[in-house]
Amino acid sequence: MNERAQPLLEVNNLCVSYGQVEAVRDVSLKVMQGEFVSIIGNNGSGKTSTLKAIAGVVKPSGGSIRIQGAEAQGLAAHRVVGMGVSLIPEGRQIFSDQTVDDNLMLGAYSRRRRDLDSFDDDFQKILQLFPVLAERRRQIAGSLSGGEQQMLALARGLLSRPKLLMIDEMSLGLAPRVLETLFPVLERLNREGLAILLVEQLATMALKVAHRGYVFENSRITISGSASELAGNKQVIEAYFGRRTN
Amino acid sequence: MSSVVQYLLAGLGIGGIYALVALGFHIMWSSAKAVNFAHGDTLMLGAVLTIVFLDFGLPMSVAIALAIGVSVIFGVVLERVAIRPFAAQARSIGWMLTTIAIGIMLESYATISFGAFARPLPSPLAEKPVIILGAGVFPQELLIPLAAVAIVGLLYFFQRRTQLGRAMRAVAFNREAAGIVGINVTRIAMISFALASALGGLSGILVAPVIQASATMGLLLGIKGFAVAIIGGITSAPGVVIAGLLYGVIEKFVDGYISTAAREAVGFSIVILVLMIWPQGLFGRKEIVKV
Repeated sequence: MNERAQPLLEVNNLCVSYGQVEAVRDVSLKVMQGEFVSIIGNNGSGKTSTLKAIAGVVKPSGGSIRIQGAEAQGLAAHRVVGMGVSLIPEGRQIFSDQTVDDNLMLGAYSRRRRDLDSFDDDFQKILQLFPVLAERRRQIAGSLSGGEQQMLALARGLLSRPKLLMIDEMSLGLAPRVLETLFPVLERLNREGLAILLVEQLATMALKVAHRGYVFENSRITISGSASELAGNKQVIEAYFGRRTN
Repeated sequence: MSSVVQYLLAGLGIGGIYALVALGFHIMWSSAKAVNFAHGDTLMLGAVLTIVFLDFGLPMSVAIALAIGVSVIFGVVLERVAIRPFAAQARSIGWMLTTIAIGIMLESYATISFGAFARPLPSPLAEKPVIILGAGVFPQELLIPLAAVAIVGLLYFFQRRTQLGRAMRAVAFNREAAGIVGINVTRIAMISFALASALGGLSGILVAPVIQASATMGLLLGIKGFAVAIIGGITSAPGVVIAGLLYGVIEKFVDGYISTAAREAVGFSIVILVLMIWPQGLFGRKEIVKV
C-alpha cells in the first residue's frame, strides 16, 4: 500500500465533553484502507466516546474527523453511515422488538435503490457468515442469546456495506466459546478488505487480531504502535495483561 | 334492549374518533417522543376546511383531499417550528407549551374567519338513520369505528412490510440505534407528523357530519384522544384503538343511564383510576428514557 495514501479515517485533536466532564481530550488517530486497528484501555478512558463522536452519535466539542478526506465532524449519524463508516455499538442495540429479518433489512436502509439489487447476494453472504441467524430469521430479535444478538448487530452493520466497521466492546458479556467464533469472522472480513476499528477490553485478543493499536488512558491516547509492539510494551503488559477482566 | 344497542353503536361511533385521534398521538410519540397538543385542532382544520372548500363550490372529493392536504402541511410545519427546536434534549418539555399555544391561536383564527357557530358537514351517510335491533344510528357512525380498525390494521402491515415502516418502528424503539443504521431520524419524525395529521384531518371530516363542525370542536376531542392514548398505552397502536372504542362506549352509557353532566366526570375519573393501576397504560410498554 502506498505510504502516502489517503487514510480512510483520520481524527485530529478530537475532544468530546458531556457538560463539564471531558470524556475525550485531543485524540488523534487514523485507520488506513483495509487496516485492522484496536483500541484498548480501561472503562471510562474515552474509547466509546471517541467511536460515538466518529459515528455522529455525539457531537465533538473540538477537533476534526475526516472520512476519505471529507469532513465528517458533527454530521448526523445517518450521514456518517452514508460515507461508509458503520458502528456496532456497545450493548448491540439491536431492534429487539422486530424480527431478525427486519433488523437485517434495516441494516440496508442507507443503500440507494440501485445498490439494493446486490442486496440479496449480500444477504446470503451474511447468512453464510453467521449460519445461526439463518435459522432464526423469523424470530423476534430480543429472543436471541447474547452471542446471537452480537452476530445480528455485526450483520446489520455489514449490510450497510461499510468501508470501515467500528466495533465497540464486542466481547462484553459473551462466553469465551462465542468469542472463538466471532474473532475469526472479523479476521476474515478484514482479509477480504474491510477496515476495522475495534474497541476492546480484552487486550490480548484485540492485539492478536490487529495490525496496529492505540492505548487510551484518562480520556487521551497514551501509547500507540503496531500490535506486536504494544503486546511487548512493558507498560501495556502491566496495565492490561496483568489483570484481565472477563 | 334497544337502548343498550343504541348506546353501544353510538359509543363505538364517537369512540372510533377517540381511537383515531389517539392513534395520531401514538404515531407522533413513537417517532419524536413528543406530541402535538394542537392535534385536536387538526381535526377542526380538516372539518372546517372541507366546509369552506364546499362553499367555494368544489366537489366533495376535492374538498376532502384539499382539507387533508392542508392538515398535513399544518402538522409538518408545526413539528418543524414548535416541536423540533423544543424537544432536542430528552426530558425537555418546551414543546408542550408551544403546541398548546399554536392550537389556541389556530382556534382563535378559525373563530374569526369561519364564525363562532357550528355548521354541519353534509354527508350522504348522515341523512337517514338505519335501524339495527331497534336502535337508530347513522351509517356514518358505523363507518367511523370500522375506519379506525381498518387504519390500525393497515398501519400494522405498513410497519412490518415496508422499509419506511420498519424505520418508524426502529426510531420508536431506539433513536440512537436507528441513526447508527443509517435512518434519518428527523425525517422519520417529519413523516410521522405528516401521517398523524392526515389521520387527524380525516377524523375531523368523519366526525363532523355527526357532531357538527366548529372552530372549537377540536379542544375536547383532542384532550379525550390524548387521555385515551395514555390509558391505552401510547406505545401500542392496537392498545389505543381498543381504549378509544371502550371509552366512547362507556361515555354513551353514562350519558344515557346517568346524565350528560356526569359524562366527563365519570370518564376522566376512569382515566385517573386506570393510570394509578397501570402507569404505562393498559397495553403500553415501559419506555427507557436516556438522558
